[in-house]
Amino acid sequence: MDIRVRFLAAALLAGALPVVPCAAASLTADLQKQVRAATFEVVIKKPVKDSVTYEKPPPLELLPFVERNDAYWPVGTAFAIGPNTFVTAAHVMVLGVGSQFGLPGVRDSDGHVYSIDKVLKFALHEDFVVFTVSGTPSVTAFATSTNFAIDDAVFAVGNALGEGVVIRDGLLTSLTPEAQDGKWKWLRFSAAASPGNSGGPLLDDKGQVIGVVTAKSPNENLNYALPIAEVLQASAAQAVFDTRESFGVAHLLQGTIVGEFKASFPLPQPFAEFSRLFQAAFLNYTRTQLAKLTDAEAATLFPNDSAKLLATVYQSPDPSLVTQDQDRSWDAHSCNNATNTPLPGDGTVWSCPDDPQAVLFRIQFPGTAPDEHHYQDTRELMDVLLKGVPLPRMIGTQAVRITSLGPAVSESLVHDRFGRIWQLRSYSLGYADAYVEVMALPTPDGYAGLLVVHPSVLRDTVLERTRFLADYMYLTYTGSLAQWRAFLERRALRPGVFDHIALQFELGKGVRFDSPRLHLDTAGVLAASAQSSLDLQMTYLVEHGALTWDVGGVIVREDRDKQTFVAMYRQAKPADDAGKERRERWQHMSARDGDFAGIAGHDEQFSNFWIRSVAAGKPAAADQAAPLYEVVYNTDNKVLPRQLEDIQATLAKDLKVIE
Amino acid sequence: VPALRGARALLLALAALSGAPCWAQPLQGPVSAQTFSVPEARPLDNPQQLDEALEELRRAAWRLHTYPGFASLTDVRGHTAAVDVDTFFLTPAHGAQLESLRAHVRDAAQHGDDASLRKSLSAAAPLIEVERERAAFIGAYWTLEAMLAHHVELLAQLEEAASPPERATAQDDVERAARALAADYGAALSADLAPPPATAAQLNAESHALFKVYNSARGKLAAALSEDERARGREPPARERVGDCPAAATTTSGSGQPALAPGNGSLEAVYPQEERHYSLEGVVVLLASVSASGCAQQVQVYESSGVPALDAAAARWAEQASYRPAQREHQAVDGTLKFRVRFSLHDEG
Repeated sequence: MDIRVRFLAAALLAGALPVVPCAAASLTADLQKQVRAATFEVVIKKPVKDSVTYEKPPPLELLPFVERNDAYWPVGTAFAIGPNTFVTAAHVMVLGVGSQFGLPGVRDSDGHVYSIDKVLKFALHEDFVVFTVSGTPSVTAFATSTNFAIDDAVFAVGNALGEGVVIRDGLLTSLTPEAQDGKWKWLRFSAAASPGNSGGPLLDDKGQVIGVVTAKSPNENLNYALPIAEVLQASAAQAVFDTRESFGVAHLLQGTIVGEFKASFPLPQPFAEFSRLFQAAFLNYTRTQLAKLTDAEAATLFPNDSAKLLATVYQSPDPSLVTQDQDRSWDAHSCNNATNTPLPGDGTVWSCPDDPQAVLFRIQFPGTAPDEHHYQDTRELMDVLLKGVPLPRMIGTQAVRITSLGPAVSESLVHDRFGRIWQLRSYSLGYADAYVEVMALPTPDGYAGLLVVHPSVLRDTVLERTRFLADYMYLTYTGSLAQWRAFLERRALRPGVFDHIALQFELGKGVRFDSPRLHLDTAGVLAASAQSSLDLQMTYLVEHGALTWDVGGVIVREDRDKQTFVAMYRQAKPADDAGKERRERWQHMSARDGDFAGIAGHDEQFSNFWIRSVAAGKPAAADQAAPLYEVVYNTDNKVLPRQLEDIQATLAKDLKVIE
Repeated sequence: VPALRGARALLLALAALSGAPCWAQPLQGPVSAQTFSVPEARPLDNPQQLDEALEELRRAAWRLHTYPGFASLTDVRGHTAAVDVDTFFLTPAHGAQLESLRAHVRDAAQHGDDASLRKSLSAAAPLIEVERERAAFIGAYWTLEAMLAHHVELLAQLEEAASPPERATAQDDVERAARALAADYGAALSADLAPPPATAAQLNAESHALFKVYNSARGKLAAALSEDERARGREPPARERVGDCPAAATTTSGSGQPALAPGNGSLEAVYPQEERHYSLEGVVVLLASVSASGCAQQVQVYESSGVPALDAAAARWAEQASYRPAQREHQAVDGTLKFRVRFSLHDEG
């Protein structure tokens, strides 16, 4: 999947490649005229106006004259092989699948554009498509030939680099078996080919088509064309997918499988229907392969080999992903290259580009008051994200900052494996015929989520991967007490695990937290204020053989910007392979010694003071160890040890581990 | 003991015993009397200095409360150092008094009321002094306790091997002494005043007496155990000479037994530093095999002091000492000398 994504994206966004100057052989002037008349550009409509807003007017004058004045993107070449029968490369036509701006078309040398009407033949692996267009252009089709010999002079005709149709010559140099199964032999030729040549004809010196130009040989002049016989002899009854590639979920899973994309659907089809069927086939392929992959990797999938993670509760207000290390063990990994962008007020946008295909983000809206608007306004979400997630439009060498994509063009809810409810919102990136997709998980003080950018054609497939990633997001929910109250009342968006959580507080009095596992009351220890906050550290648990996701840590802060807090952290009994640190921690907690002896402590600067004890739960089963909870009171107030001991005693009275 | 007030006197007495005092960071390693001492008195002329003084007291509370060297100690009252800090240092009543004075001082400073400022500062000064001395007093007591713990541990090791009646006697002796010390200390802290000088001096004397009891109880047990070992026919632990012999003796002892030559080095030089810190004293009886040339070829610990380091130091000293060899028929001959080495920090005869 990853390879394909990159391949298609590269085709769409390809930059300039070296152009080789013309050599000796040439077609007669008459032939040249005929060739030009039977060769077309494949074009995709640009948006007349898109919803993108920039920090300043983009310097479009830096774009080449032709490009900035063209209402279409030239993406490849097509040619006529019969009355209203055209051929191009499959990968060229695919760029128009799912386009936000209408049907792709072919453009003649007069600039007249004919929309693609029906798809007659299609083979993804062979990389060709045969189609008709609407509004029949009068054209003399190419003759075809299957007679050729090595060292024959050949001509590659095509819309090289969007320059209009050009003819370049060379020799037929070799015949190379197709790599996957050796089903046919590629025509290798030395005539120059550039991006945009794709789908154009490879001609012999009589102007007859012997092949369809499909691929450029990187860094050398040995380009590829599919013999025209493959096109002529192909079935007209079915669109055929038959490719093989390495399939994995990079960044998350170590294992890969051989992905077999074998599918077909009946032809002919109008282009819109073809688009739909194509995307469905591709999505089905992705789903099937993900299922096959997870099946093949079942023995190594989370929560296998996760002893350390299952015995740890991380403080992760910035989200992280649970990923598989090279030794196949799973752990939550914090970001290597995070950026933090302050928002006006005291909010932030945090983002992590570690996974090049999905940016991890967190938004913390300014202030401590709840605001329903934040969770409804799709435009605001993206506008805020764009302050912290760089998504510039490149014009020439200039990166122009995008400040808004307007409201989402579509919105839906996605439930993940752990009952978390994500707001999936799609935004149009019009100028690139792409989408920016956001999977946003509402939190009390903002959002955490994933952002992906992809060409329109890949939408369903990319979302499938993004949904897969979403299951692996690890995070701590944070917010002010008022924001929590609103969050817990926002039933449509709150994860199921919060259904059984109750939070009660009154300004100037204690904070009460109740869950099926815990009861905590800070009365007499810590009073609620508008600045008070609650962190719920979420963790994974395996109970009765099933993996669940639940609250593993509760931190009530007197003031979210200061260091006075009451916290309870769950510690499941670590498995033998959870690591020395976890096992020793468990031993000390069990014995109530070391850090857990209930003795007050302080830091070297005498600025932070704490007292720590252990509360025990009941075992879930007779043969299981009861989970322990570390109970901490920490303060940056100037206190004496005696005061912390009193606080600990007060806290112990109003604290209960129920599980 | 010089005429100094309160806990400082105790501390200086301890310092005289075991080296110069130094303020005030807890040290890692064995607890010594150097660990805590009273904070320097500072000028108290403005609100900021009062804040600093109060902050210093608060930090002293935390240091005493969390000092790792005290963490595992419980004394005969069943108290820990942390409990003493919680109970006796900066009590809520004293804390409130000081906070109220702090508020007055701030208020006076704000209104430029110099007379009121001075008055409140003068009222705070003795209170701060009381707390300061209490901190030092608690620190000193628990330093003694930590030293005692070392004595207790050494004694316990011996008690395991001792016969029940011997053990009971040793335990009785030490417990009585420890109880007396703790009771006087507790009484001194309970008074809502600075510990009076007499109590400090008394504690100081009591602690010396207590160490003496331990040293004596341990010495008795160790000697009895050495005797048991010999009675069972076991050779006393021996140390073979490692270095060269001293210059050959020119005279004999004039008797059938060798004798120590005059002018041997003082024991001071071999008294181990750590044992000095802990006030560990003792008597070691050695058996030296002295050659005809006056050289100790082998030294045996005939009777242990109960402190392995002292036994070893004594043997080391005996090995490098010079002897006059035994004499038979006007000839210097090999012989054996049994003698006592006494490690004592006090010239008490």
